[in-house]
Amino acid sequence: MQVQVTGITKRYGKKEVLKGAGFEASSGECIGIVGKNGSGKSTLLSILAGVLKPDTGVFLTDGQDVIINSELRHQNVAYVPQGTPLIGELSARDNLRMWYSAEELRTGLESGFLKVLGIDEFIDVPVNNMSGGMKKRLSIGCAINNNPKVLLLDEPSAALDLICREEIYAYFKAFLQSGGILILVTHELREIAMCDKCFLMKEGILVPYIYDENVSRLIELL
Amino acid sequence: MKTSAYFYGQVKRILKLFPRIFLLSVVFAVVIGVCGMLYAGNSNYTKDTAKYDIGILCSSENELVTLGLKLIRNLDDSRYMVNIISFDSEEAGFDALHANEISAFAVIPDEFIDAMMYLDETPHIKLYTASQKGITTVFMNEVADVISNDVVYAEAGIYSFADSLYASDVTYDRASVMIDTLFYKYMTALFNRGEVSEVTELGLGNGLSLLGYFFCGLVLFYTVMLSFCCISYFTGKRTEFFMISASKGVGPVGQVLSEYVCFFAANLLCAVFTLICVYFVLTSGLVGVGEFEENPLKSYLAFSGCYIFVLMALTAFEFMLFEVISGVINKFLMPFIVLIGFSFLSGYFYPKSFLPKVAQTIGDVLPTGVAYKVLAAGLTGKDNVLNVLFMFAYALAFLAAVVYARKIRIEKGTD
Repeated sequence: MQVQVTGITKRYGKKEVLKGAGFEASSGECIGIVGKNGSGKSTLLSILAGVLKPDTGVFLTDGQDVIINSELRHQNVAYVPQGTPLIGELSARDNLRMWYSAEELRTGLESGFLKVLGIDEFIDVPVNNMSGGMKKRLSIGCAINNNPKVLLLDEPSAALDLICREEIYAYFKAFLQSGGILILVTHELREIAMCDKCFLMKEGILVPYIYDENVSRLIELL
Repeated sequence: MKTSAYFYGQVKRILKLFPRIFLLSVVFAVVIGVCGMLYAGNSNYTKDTAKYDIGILCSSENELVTLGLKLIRNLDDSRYMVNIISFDSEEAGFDALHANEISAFAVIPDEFIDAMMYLDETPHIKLYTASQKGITTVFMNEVADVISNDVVYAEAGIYSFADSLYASDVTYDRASVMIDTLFYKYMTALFNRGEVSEVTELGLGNGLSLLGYFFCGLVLFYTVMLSFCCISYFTGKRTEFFMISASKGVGPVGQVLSEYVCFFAANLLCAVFTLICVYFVLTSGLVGVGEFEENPLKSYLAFSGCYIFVLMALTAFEFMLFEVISGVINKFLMPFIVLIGFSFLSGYFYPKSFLPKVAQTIGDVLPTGVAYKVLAAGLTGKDNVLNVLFMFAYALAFLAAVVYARKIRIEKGTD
């Protein structure tokens, strides 16, 4: 699968948050987007997820614009917002049942990505009684009901302990190995290091950077 | 499919919360119900409907006095407001007065009738009241005044005329017939005095009886407060959940409608249970609302039918308040203040005719005010179509506002 994001612009009143952001990605690639708070990273991710409409721009998956074709986006793209997109009073099973059929849920828990995420271990625990790591894994589990080709994550490991992070990274690796495209908005160096391509959101456009592990720094490519 | 998935989640959620919501609503209904019953049975209202008990001590051998009492008890308009209770002795009358069993005690001396004939005012009717009791004392003074200045002189005139007739050439039988005819005409004129005026009860607010008015007000107050029993349904919502749902194709419209249906259903179940309990209280005779007396079941079903429209609009209104106000404390405090204010302006606590004209006009157009009109019309059986349409329009407008607020919330990604 090929993903092309081109010329995304978004204006809030007089403020132009995105001024033509774009990037490309192929199957199995991890894309990292970094930048200052309020620079427009989450806005871009919301646009790609279909939560926000851009003023201009295209988001192509295998040549088809999923901003226009929302049904195709629902099939191919999954989105995990920052925070906990779950119903606190319900168990993991009830939250998952909103998006999975009974059969899909059973298969997913036995041998699918839900098993990789370890959700079967706390399937009947109410969300309000879960740890941060459990909630994040369940959030990802809820998002990927459509077996997406593109997974969008907004600061996936924020406020998680090391063990939880490792569990989530293990899932990311499995997802990438299955040919998925991972697009992360992050502040974590560890996640940046995982990325094949890294972009800095700067004044509304994405600037390509590379992460130099030797000096633990982002170096501008241009 | 996606909206149905979202709806499924909301149903599961409201079912989890419902036991607590239901218990809170029952507690709330009991508190309001007890307050309402206490009010219905309290002295102000009872005084409004009860008769004054007036004790009287007079000679049972005097035909004129006993005839007069009989006429007052059976024919005079005062029988609707005064119970005349005869006593055998002054002591018994005073005891009853001190025990607050009667409001006043009148003693008619044996010589009174004879004295009347000669316009001798020496043997007065003696009137006693227990203490300075405001309207009771005024009332008794008025009675004494009428008796002293009008009745006594009129009857004395008749007796003087009778003496003149008996002293004249007219035969005794003929004079008796003439005196009886005159006396009968006088008594007829006296007891028919009520017919010179016609009293029609227009009722308080929208033509309701006093209890009907307070019944409507309390039911509506219960309804606006009922939503607070569901506060946990709103405080636990997360914007991230709305965002992920939107990304899966469940937009603001699908989200809001799914949530509203669940919220309304929870309110409706609680309200139906409460209304059934209220029906049994009303038909048990503990409280009698006049509007339900003729055909209780039919009237109550008509009232309940109207209530559903009211509940629909008010829950939509409260849904909007809970959606646009952020923060747990604000979510409780602000709608509470708004709803209490609206209830006050709409006349839920006492007739809005006491309020300034501008406030009355505002109260009339508020959703709570229109809700009052719908329920009042449901209670009195008046035409209600226009008001019901208003309720629908309000419900739609509020839900549209919620959809817009949800759209903004999703786009901003914050509460």
